[in-house]
Amino acid sequence: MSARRVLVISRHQTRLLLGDPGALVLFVIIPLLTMVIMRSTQKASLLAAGYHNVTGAEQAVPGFTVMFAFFWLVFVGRTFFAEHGWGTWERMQAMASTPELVIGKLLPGFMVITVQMILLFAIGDLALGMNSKGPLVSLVIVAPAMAFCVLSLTFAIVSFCSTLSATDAVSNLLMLVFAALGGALALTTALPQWAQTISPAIPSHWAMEASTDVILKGKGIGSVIGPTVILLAFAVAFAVLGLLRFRPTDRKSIA
Amino acid sequence: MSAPASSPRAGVNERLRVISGPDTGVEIPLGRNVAIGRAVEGPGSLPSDHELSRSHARVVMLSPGSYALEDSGSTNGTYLNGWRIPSSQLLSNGDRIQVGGSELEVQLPESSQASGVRRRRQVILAGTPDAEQRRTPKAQATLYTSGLRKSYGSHEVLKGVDLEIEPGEIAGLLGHNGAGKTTFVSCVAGLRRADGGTVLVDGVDALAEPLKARRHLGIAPQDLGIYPTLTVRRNLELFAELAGLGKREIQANVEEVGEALSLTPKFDDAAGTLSGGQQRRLHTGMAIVYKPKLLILDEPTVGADIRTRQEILDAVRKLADEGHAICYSTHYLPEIEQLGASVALLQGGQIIARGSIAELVSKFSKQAVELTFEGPAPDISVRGGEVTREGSHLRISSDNAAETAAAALAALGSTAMRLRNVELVRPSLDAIYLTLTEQRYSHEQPVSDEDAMSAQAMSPVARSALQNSGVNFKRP
Repeated sequence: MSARRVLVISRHQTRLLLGDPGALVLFVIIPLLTMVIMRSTQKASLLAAGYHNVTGAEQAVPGFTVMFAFFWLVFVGRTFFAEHGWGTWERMQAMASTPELVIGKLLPGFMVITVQMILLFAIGDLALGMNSKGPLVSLVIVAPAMAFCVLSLTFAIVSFCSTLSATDAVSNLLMLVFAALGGALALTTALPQWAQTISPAIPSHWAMEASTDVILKGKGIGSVIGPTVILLAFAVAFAVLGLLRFRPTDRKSIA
Repeated sequence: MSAPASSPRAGVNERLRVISGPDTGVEIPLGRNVAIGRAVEGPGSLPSDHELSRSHARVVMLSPGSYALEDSGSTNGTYLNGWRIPSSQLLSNGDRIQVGGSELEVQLPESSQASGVRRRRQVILAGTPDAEQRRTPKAQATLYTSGLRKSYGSHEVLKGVDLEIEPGEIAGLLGHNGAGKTTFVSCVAGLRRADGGTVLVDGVDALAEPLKARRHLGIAPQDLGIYPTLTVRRNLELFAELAGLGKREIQANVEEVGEALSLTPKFDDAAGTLSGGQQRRLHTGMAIVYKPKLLILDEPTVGADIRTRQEILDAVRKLADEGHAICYSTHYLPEIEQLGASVALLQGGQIIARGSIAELVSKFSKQAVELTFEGPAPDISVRGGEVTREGSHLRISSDNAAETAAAALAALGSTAMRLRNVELVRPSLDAIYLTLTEQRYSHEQPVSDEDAMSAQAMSPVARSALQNSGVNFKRP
C-alpha cells in the first residue's frame, strides 16, 4: 500500500466533500441550532434525573454531537455510490489498490468527524453554557474512536447495500435508532426498561456514557478509557463485517 | 456557407475533382470550409448542375489533411461512395461524393491520409504453428497475454486469449458484442480477476503482481468516468498525481493533453458542465495524461461526434508515435484503418486473426468484378476467375480484379453490347470482419478508377475495350 496514493485520494475526497456547502451547514450549524433549541427541554430532564446546577447543554451538547456524527453514515456512504454513478470507481481501481482506495476515501471523513466533535464540544462549553464538572479535554480521545466507529459502520453498510436508496434507508434508520436508544436524545435512565437493556449494544451508548461521566458526574480521563475501548471494538467489528462482504467489483446502483 | 473557400492551411494537392456531370473536369481546391451547391460562393459553385440544391453540401477541414463531408440540408441528399450520409463523414483519398447530377472525386495526398498501415505484422491465425510460436513472450512486448481465461459462472467468456502488443503499436481489438473485448481489457487492467493464463505488462506479471503492473498501464473504460463537480484541470491532475508524476511533469502533461484534445479553454470549468463530446475527450485524456506504457481504450469514441473522434484518434496516434503500446477496442472499423492499427479479432473468447489490415485483406479475401447486363448475364469463363451468375449480374472473383475485368470484357463478344455497368470491388475491413466472424459477406468497396485503369494492371487492348464499352465505375 502506498501512503502517497492514499494521501492523493484523501485530498481528492476532501475536495469532493467540501465541494458541497451543505456539509458545513449540516454538520456544524444545524447541530448548534438544535442544541440551542433543545437545551431547556434537556435541562428539565436533567433536573428530574437529580442533576443540579445544569443548563441543559450538559445533555444537549454531547447528545446532538454524537447524533450528528452518525449523520456521516449517509454522507460518506453516498460518496461511494457517487463514484459508481460517475463511472469513476472502475477508473480509480485501475489506479490504486482497493485498500488504498477505501482508506483514502474514508480518511477525510475520519478527520472531519473528529474535528466536528471537538468543535461542537468546544462551542458548547464556550458559548452554550455547558457546565462540565470534569475535565472536558478527556473527551478528546472519544472523538477519534467515535469517528472510526462511524466510518467502519459506513463501510459495512456500503458493502452490504447495492443501491443508494437502500444505503440511505439503512443509514437513516441506524442514525435515529442509535440516537434514541443510545441516550443521545434523552438520558438513558429516562428510557423504558427494555430500551435500557439493549442500549449497551449500541455504540452511541458508550460515547454518551463517557460524556455523562465527565460532564455530569465529574469523572476524569480514567472513566473515558473503558467506553473508548468499547467504541473501538465496535469499530473493528463493523470493519471486519464490511471486509467479509466487500467486493470492489460489485456494481452499485445510484437508484 | 460563404466562408473562405480556401485557407492558407490547406494543402496544395487537396481538392475535389468533378468526374461526371455538367461540370466534369472542374477542380475544387479544399480549404477550411468549402461549400458545394448551385448558388454558393467560391470554387464549390456548380451552377450548371440543376439537380444540385442551391447550397447542397460542404467539406470542412478538421485538421490539416483531414476533411469531413456534411450535407447542408439538400433536397435529394449527399452520397459518399454510393451511400447517403446520415451525418458528417470523414473523407479519404479516392472517395466519391455524389451530389445532384455530379460526382466528385476526393484527391488528397497520401501523406495527409491518417497514417495508413504503418506497421506490418504477420497474419496469425489461432491454432496455427505461428500462433504457437507467439506463446513465447518477446522481450520488447509491452503487453503479452497467453491463454487468458475468464468465466462468469458457467459462461466462459475468454477461452485462452493470446495477444502481444509491441511498443509503438496500436492493436485494434475487434469483435462483436459479447465477444469478450471488455472482459479482456478488464482482466489485463486488473479490474477483473482472470481465471488463468498469463498477462505480462511491460514484463510485469499482472496476475501475480497486479498493483505493480497497473503502474505501467492506463485505461479509459467504455463507460464515461469523470468527476463532474471538479474542474477539467483537476480531473486530469488527479490521474497524473495517482500515477506518481512530479509537479512539473503533471503541469506539462496536463497542458499537452488539454491542447491535444481542445480542452484548454475549459480547464477551469466543472467537468459536469461540458458537452458530451468534451466529456468524452476528458475521459480519454485522463488515461493519456500520465502517458502509460500500455494504454487501453475501450470503445473511446462511442457516441462521439466527428471532431471529438478525430481529436481522440490524433492523440492516440501521437502517443503511439512516442512509443507507447495501445490496445484499442472498437466497433468502428474505419478507425482501425485511420489509426494504421494492426487488427486482433476476438471471437468466441479467442483471437481468431491477427495482423495488419492489408495482410488480412490479402489473406482472407479476393477482389471481384461485377458486370451488369441488359437481360440475362451471358455464360462466360475467365481464366483464374471464379464466375457466378445471378439474373442480369455476373460476378467474377479473382486475385486481380482489373486484369479479370479486361479478360471478361474480351470474352464477352457480341454480348458486350448489352453490358450496362462494370464494377470492380475489393473487400473492406468490414467484409473481412464479417467473413472471419462467419457472418454475411455484405459490404464491399469499389476499387478506385486509378487501380482499374492503370497501365500496369491492364493490357492496352483490355484498357481500350473498357473505354470503348462506355462503362464507368460508379457504384449503382
